[in-house]
Amino acid sequence: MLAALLMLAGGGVAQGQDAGPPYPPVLSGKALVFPQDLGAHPDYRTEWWYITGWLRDAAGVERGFQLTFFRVRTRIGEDNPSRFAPRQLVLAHAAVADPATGRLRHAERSGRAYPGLVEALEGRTAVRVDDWLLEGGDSAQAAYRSRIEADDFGFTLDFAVDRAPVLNGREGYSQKAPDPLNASYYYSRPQLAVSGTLRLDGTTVAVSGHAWLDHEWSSEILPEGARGWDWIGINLADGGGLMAFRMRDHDGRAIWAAATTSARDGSIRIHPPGEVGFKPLRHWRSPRTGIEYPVEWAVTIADRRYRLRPLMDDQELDSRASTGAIYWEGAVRLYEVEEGAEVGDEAGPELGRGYLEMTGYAERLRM
Amino acid sequence: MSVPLRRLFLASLLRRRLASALSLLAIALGVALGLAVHLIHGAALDEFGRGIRAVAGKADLQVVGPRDGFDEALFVTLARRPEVAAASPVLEIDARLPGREESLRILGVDLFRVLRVQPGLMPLADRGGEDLRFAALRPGVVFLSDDAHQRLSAPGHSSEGEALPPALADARIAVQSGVRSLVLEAGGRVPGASGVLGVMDLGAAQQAFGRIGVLSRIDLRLTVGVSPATAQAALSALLPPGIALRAPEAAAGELGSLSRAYRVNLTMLAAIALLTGGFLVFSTQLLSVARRRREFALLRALGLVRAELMRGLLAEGAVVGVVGGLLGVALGHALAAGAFRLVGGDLGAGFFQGVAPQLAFHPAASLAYLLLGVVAGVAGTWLPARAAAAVAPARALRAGEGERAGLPRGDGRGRLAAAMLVFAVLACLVPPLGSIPVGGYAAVVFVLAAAILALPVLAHALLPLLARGRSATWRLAHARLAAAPGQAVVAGAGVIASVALAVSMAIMVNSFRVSVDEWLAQVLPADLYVRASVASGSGYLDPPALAGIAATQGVARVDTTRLINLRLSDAEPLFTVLARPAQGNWGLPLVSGSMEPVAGDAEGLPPAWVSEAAADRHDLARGSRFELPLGGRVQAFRVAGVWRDYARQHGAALIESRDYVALTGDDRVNDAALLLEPGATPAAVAQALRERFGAEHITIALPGEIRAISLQIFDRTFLITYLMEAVAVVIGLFGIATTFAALAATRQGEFGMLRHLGFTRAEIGRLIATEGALTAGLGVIAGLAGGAAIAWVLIEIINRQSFHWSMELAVPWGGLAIFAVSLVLLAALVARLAGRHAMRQSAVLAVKADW
Amino acid sequence: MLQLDDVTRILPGTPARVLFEGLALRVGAGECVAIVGESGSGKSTLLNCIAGLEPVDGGAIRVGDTSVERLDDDAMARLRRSHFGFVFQAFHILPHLDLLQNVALPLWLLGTAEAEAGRRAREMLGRVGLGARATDPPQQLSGGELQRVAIARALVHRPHLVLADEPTGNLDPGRASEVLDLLLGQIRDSRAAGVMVTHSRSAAARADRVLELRVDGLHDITGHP
Repeated sequence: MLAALLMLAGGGVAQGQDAGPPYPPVLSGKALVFPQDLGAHPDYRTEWWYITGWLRDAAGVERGFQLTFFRVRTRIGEDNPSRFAPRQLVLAHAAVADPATGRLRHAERSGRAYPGLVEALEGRTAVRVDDWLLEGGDSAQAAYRSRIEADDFGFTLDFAVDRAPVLNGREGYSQKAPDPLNASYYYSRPQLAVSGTLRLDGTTVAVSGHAWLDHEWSSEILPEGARGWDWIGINLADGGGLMAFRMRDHDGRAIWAAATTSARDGSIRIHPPGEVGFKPLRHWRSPRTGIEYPVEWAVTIADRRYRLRPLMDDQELDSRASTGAIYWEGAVRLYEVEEGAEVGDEAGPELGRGYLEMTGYAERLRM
Repeated sequence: MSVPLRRLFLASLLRRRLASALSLLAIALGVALGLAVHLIHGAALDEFGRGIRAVAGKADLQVVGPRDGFDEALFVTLARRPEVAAASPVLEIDARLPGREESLRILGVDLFRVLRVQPGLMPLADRGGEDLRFAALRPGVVFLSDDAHQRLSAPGHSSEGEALPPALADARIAVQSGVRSLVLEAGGRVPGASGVLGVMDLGAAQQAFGRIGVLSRIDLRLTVGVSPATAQAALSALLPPGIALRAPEAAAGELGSLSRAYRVNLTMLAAIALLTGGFLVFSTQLLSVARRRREFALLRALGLVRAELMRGLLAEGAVVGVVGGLLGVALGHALAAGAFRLVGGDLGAGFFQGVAPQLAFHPAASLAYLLLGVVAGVAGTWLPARAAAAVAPARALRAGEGERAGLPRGDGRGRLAAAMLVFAVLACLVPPLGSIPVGGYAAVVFVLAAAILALPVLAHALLPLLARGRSATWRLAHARLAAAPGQAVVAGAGVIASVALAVSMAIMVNSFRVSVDEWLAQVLPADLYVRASVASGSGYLDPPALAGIAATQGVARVDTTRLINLRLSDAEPLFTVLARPAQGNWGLPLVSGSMEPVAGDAEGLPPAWVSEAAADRHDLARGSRFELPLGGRVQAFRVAGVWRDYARQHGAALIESRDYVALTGDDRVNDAALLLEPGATPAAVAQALRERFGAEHITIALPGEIRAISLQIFDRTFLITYLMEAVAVVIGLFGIATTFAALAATRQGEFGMLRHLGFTRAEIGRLIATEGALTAGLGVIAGLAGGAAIAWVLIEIINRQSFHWSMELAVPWGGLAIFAVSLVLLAALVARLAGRHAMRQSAVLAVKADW
Repeated sequence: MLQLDDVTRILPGTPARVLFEGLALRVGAGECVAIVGESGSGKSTLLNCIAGLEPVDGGAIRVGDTSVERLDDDAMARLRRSHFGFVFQAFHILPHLDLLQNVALPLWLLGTAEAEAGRRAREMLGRVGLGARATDPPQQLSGGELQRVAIARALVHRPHLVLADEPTGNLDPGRASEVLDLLLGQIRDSRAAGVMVTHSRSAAARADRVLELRVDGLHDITGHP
């Protein structure tokens, strides 16, 4: 779904000196059109392209990676003819979960949109912040590629597509709260076949694996009273995909939840809030921030029960110095909890691998 | 320290307290002045450099262009280059505060990029809770450095000098854009910045100040492993003409070279003060050695080795030098601290206005100046010590050796003086070394030496003319000086040096002032001048504003000037281009060429008129081809004439407004010169203009006011030089004082005899005063002659080479006459005071002394 | 010319010492008196008192018609320049003046016209035998010659009174006698009164009268060496 870089779309924008037309609402019944909707929707307040996945090198070492590009419409300077006017901001965030490192390597880039340098183009997936970029083709079948270069890591990856976008919610209208206004347009690209290179410090290795892409845009996504969310996107070993999330209130209770399961053949099943359950099993306390995160979960979707276990416990991401958020975002394995077994028991066979994102454990996200 | 050294030599310093104290003080003053100039300038440069560094942050290279900025297209080109890790664009605005004298330097930045290149410029929003980056993106918000907060929260001044409430009130500050006011909200602080500056969003700044598409600077951080030299080589080819790529430190270097000539000038003044101090040591030591001649002869007879005697005397000079030097170092720091408190880091030339430096102790500079003090002390003692060591003891021990025996005879120096003059002339032919006129300064030293050496000759020539006096005191004084002109040299050398210095500066400054005054009259022929802001400031007159001015009742004609500061090369300071109608309400003081463009130009180049500095630097004359980077292209001009320009030291060129607008499309204007209709009064038109634009947005000046203000600034600039001259003159008078104090002591027998012969005490006093006046008079005459010669060197060589401006010689006769007469009277008084205790002694005892 | 009555001088200090008291002396025009005495007997002090350079503690001193003890410092200086001539043991010839100028010095003080002063000084130099060396600097002169210049200076302005303090003290005996003859001769010729202080009995013997200074007064010892 999203990472927490969104902070920048803070309320301060909407107050202050508004300029230009208001943010358009996200409404049910609007059909998503591809390849048009692969590209940016600059009128909406926030938008992101979010890729997570697992990589495996020739030596068999498995690592998680994450790459997010955000677009934010500030409603500042929309009447300003200057190309530097900060009408649109693009922010990028990348991380690699390497068990040998023991914690995340992460880096970020951000900038105001400026032609040729910082862009989120319309019509196809093409976002860049300086030398960081994510590009797709001009059709829903086209592959994506990305390039990231940070101080202690970098990757250049291609993402092959084998199926049409999976529309979450009601034909891509994804409700986030009981109020239908809190919603986004949201589609996923599960089972992207990854190939490319990964650099850790000075060492570059060839890698391959599977990834998941979310593209979501909205104007009023976070409901009143919500503190944060828990989200998973899992590529199942059988070729299917599983996405589930829940919004939590300040007491940690779910105020909304939803899930989408898809199969290799393209069939999709949408799960209403009642069919989605998240239950923490084990907590881990960050030695750096002292925040406690539930790193193992029991997840229920309709009649199936799953168990989530992290690639490693410490996948906390502290970006207070720049974007201001602390959250946990990491590679996880999904296990089957067999019929009749308790969730606390030894897990069953591994069903798939993907990413878990948990926000709002430090403080309420500002959106 | 050996016992004889302490007892015989150093103790002698304590015995002649007045002379020792004055020598010490003279050296201290010379050292203090030099060190203070060095400290003040160094601290100002450091502070400026610190400001540059804070603003440049981690930037490895900076792209700089004309002061008015360049096309922002370059930014993307550079930011996408693999050599560049991060590029941060900056728009720098010298924002005028409407109706106020102060201005605010506003940096429009992209805070996303500032973070990676110049973290010191990162703003911090005041409002808690709100994301600071978002607050910093809002238009109409400026973030102020702590220095700016402090400065702007203090009461200010209007351009006319009236007190005004603080510019910053209720977190609001008005700035000027064009001829309109713009109220900005002070949204927070810039904790990492130093100096008076504000930070704004780049997009907002471009819009607010009408600079869409323009950047002043791009700061680059290079990719790891790419050296600045490599990047410079790779990127320079991408830069349009007039844009330079350089290390951020180069800006401080540029300012350093800008003010170097001025600083060297001041240091030379300090050096002359120190030199005068050295002369003072020389004269006191010489007299003291003469007095102790028999003592030394006795010591030599008792077995003191010649070298020991020499060493002992040099140690006396060294002690004076060390103590004076230490005192000078302390005084220099105190002077610098006082100057910082009173006037900031600017030494009067305006290079460092607004820089608020901190005084720091500089061990190396302090030691160097201390050593200079010691050198002055030892050098001043060298000749007397040699003379003392050379004396044959038997002869000196004989009774009846007068006090004159040790004094220089002071003849046969005429030829040496003439040689010095020849050297001076030759030195004038030496070309400048890196814009420092070393030959000129050498010529000054030679002229000084010649003046001092010529003093006995002068005495020989002049004294017979004065032999007409009737009174016994006059005759005695005259006879004494005529018989012993060497003594006049001893007493008067310091006077000559300081008078020559003061006179030369007076003539030079007067010539300069007169020339500036005439120049102002020539360049300001219109009835009324309207200005929105200084060049590169945020105020300007656009076509609608100009139309408004033209439509104002009583205005017959409007001529405009556009001022642009260009970069001709990476290394040179900014070059000024004035775009205006060549013929019109603005005058142009031509020194060569003509106002008519060169006829029959095969290339059909537009005409340009260049200032003397530009002509000197770029070797231009009428008919030369001269290229200027305008509007991102190189445009050639044909030089039609050379004009005198005192306003822009680094060169200026005047081109026709229509050529400029055609080349750049920039139709804004800084100044407008108005010719009024017959019958219209300047006051009425000014009032109408103020009503139209708002009094705080435009500055309206009458030529007379501009002249007055310019001359006021001129005088302020030279204030510090007057101060240093005064110190040198005081040191010169010290020379008279010590010499006469010493002489009076040796002449008690003479005074006793004169009392017996019927001189009253008052007549003895008059005798000493007359001798002082005569000595000083000779020194003053030699100083006047030397000063006139030095003034010529200053005007024709040093100023020409340092500042590239010419001036007409104008001697302030009246001032010089008053100065000379007062100095002679002062010398008489000083001599009289110094000889006072000789007159107190009983005449009875005095005649008993065996001398 | 010179008349001293009941002159007393007490040296200040504790206890104060009476140097001399009740001293009386008369010296007429053209007369030369020598005063001798023990060292410290006050010979020079007496001379200084006469010249008005030291105060007296009682009695009266008259030079011509003027009472010296009544005059203030400046008036006394003016009296000296017109009526007194001095010859010192150490000559006191100014090194930066030539001989003529040195001799003319008292005339300068009196404001005598340039030509007149020159003429008289030249004449005076001739009288002391140095007429040919008028423009020489004093450095080239021997002690005896310097004292001749001093004698010329003492008499050039025709003073009423010439005071000489050990005028031969710095000279060898041959020169001393020569100089003394000149001094006494010139004083007599110019009809001045002369008072010479000396510790040399042979020098004193050349004077018209020799007086010995004691605490209780001057005692004529002429002819009793």
